[in-house]
Amino acid sequence: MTETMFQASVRMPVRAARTSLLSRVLASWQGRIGGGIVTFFTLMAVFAPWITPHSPTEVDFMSVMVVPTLEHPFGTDEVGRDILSRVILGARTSLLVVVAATLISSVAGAAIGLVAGWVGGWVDTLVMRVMDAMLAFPLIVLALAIIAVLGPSLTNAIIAIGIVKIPHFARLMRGEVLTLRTLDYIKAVETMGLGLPRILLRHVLPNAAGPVLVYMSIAASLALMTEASLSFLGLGIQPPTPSWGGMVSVGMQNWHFWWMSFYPGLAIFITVLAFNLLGDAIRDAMDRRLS
Amino acid sequence: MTRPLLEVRRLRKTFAPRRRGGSPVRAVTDVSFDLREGEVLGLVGESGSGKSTIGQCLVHLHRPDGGEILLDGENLATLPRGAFRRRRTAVQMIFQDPSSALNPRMSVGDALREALRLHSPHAGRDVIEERLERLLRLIGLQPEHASRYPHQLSGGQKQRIGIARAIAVEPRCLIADEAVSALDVSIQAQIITLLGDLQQSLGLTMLFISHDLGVVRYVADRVAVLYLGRLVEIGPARDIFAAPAHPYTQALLAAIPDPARPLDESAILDDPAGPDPRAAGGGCAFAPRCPHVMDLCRKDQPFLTQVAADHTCACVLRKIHPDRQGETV
Amino acid sequence: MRRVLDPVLQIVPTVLVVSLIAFLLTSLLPGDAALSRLGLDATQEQLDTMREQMGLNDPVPVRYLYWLGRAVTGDLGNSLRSGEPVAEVLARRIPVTLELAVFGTGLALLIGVPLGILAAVRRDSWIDVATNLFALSGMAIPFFWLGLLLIMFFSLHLQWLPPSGYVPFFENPVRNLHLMALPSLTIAVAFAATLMRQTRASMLEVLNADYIRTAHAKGTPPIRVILHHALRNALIPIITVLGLQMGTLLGGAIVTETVFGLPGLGRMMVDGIYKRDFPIVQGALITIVVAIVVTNLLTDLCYRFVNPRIR
Repeated sequence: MTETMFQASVRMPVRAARTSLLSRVLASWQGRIGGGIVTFFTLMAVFAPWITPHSPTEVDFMSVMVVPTLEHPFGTDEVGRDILSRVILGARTSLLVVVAATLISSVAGAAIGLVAGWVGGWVDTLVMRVMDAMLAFPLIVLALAIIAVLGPSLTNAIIAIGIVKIPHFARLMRGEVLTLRTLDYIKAVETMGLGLPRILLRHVLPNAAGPVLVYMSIAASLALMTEASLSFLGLGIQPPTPSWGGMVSVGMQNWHFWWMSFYPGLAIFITVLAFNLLGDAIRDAMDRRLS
Repeated sequence: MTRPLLEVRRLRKTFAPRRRGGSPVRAVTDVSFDLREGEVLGLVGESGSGKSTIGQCLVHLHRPDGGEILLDGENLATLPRGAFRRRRTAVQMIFQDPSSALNPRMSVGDALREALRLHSPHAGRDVIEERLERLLRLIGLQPEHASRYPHQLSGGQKQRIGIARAIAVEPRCLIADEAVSALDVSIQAQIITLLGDLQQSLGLTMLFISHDLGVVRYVADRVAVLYLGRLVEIGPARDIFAAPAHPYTQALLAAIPDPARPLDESAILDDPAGPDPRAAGGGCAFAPRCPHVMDLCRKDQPFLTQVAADHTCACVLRKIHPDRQGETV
Repeated sequence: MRRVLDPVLQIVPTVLVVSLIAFLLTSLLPGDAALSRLGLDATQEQLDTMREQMGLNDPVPVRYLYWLGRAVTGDLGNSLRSGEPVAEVLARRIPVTLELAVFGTGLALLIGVPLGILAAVRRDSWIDVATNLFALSGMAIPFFWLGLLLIMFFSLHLQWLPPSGYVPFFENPVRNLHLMALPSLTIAVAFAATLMRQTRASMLEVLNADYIRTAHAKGTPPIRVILHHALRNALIPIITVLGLQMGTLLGGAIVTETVFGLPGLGRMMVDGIYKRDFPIVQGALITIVVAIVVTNLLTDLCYRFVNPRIR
């Protein structure tokens, strides 16, 4: 009995610091608006199949390129599909790409930065040279080059967008690791002869993760933009899967029917804006907590 | 005489220049001393004297460029990786800045459990918990402190945890690197007392690194004085404080504030820039600041020479036994 | 001299790694170069000879060195489709993208810097809020969508400017400027937004400095204080941003060229990917990245000369 009580008191974690970060993010207008829209976008993406007013894939040649009406608030496209429904379903594709690509780049980038920063020496020099060279490519250019090799598809878009952001995360992580290495608690566990995996996973990673997490929201906005650009160029998500960038591209070929490209483009704009606002808010909240 | 626990032989460490084209910094040059079982050796010097570098070499955070560090007559650096990791815990370090010495995302209990498990990997959970409680009491904290995080502790409490973590792996030797200089003076005394108690009760050997001779006086059995990476004097604490042989040691002692003595107007250590490692040419590194400097000092590097029992000094003024010149301790 | 030479030498390894990445990517492209040159009715024997001739059977490192050796002499191979030398295609395409980039940068400076100064001087006023909203929107708006909106408004609704097409400047300057107006504006907006934020930030920093207060106290006219004293010192970070954004600008040019039907480097690369014409893709890729690396170098040099502290 006393044993369990003792352990309960010992194991009680302290989460004060984390909740205050969230409340600080939500205290700014950027955090509220950005967070609100990102939440809305996420919910829309998750529940897309159940909330579309029409079938996003059903072709209706009786109502081709209809001007926005109450029946079709965003109008219809060149084969009579409801654009609002397709924008809603497009959120799902975008969310999938953004989440998967950002996970790839953050995990791979963090791992590369961790190793380069910890090992140092020629490994570090070599790895960071390659990373710097990758950074010289504009995101969309490198993504295009990767797509050129892999061929255009949803999976390959995710891989390409994931790869192009790796160097940013790697540099960020490496910087954090170099700073942490000089701290006494890292030296202390080294001196104790703690195993390397444990040092990295228990001591280095948790303390280096903050800036990486903040950067994820900025990376998400860039991933969304890159996916839209790839799809617009016809080298990203392939029809008939609805994607915002692809819809703008089709609309461009029919530019007298403005609604075909206007609403999907607006969706990209608002979502990217929301991710940027959220990123700014998180960064400010982190800065204030540090100072 | 029994073999010393730790033997440092002609230790040498040079750091690469910060910028390209700069000259490399010789942090430690040919330093030799012994750490005898059960003693407290004070290692003193100004910042930049290389004292922390020596400490970090002893716990293998730095790899020396030359010389040897022998533990029980064995050079750990040449052991295979696995054996080295097991033996490494024999020497542990207490760090200077308590605020960076603890992982901010780990509770005190978890940090200590990690160290305890490292020492006895096969111990059951209740054994570890029992040891944790004992450890916390040993360093003057309560079992409920285990659930705290570093930011909930005072500087003195954090330093106690740092000490607990170091002794959790049951080392034979502790390196205290400026272990109290970041603390309030009132807390300093508590931590020094704790270190003294632990050293007695656990039979620890300790290297007490500090720039503050006033603190070293309370804890050290012997004192070693460093100047610009070289050992200039080593001997029993009582001798050093009563009859310092090297002009630098004399200056250091004169700089300790003492209400019983008027302020010394001719203090030579008030140079705000401190010693310049690049200024030292071929001769004695202390020559530019030494009040007794002679032509000879600028030419030759003085050897450590015995000045009294177990007490040696590297200064031409003390070459009273020319026949024993060059002998190390 | 070292000041110039050091950064110049430092980009050599970067360019080498960049060229290696570009080479590896494009040499991994699916499709058989020999097959696409000879056509589908080629015999196996002919294909084998062609592969041997083209050096396709050599190990990749050897091929890279050969390719690099030819590339530094300006020989980037021939298009697999038209047989035209890649260097000639580039010579035709580069001016288009260069013009777009120069006009875009010019417009961005004209929009971004004055707005940034205004926002800094009238800090926290409605102007500051409005310009901030402009900057946020400018950074979030997709190039292709902005381009389309501009076409819809200026070309279809107002009928002021042509929606797409290209005429070289020296053939018909007026027509060229008409055609380049909307594309330049398209890539300028995002750039202007970044410049505006940077200008505002560095102006705010400078405006609080003591020497600015001294200038005010001496009775120097405010406009002179701002333009002469403050802007000159705020210029360094602005130059840096200018260089760092070159990648975003050229990335934007790729998409923008597609919207407006401009035959530039970006279109060249995208078309090359569609047609699996890897020497074309390679040529465009290398040119874009080398342009960026060189711009960064120039920025770095500029920075070293403008900023006395770095000497």
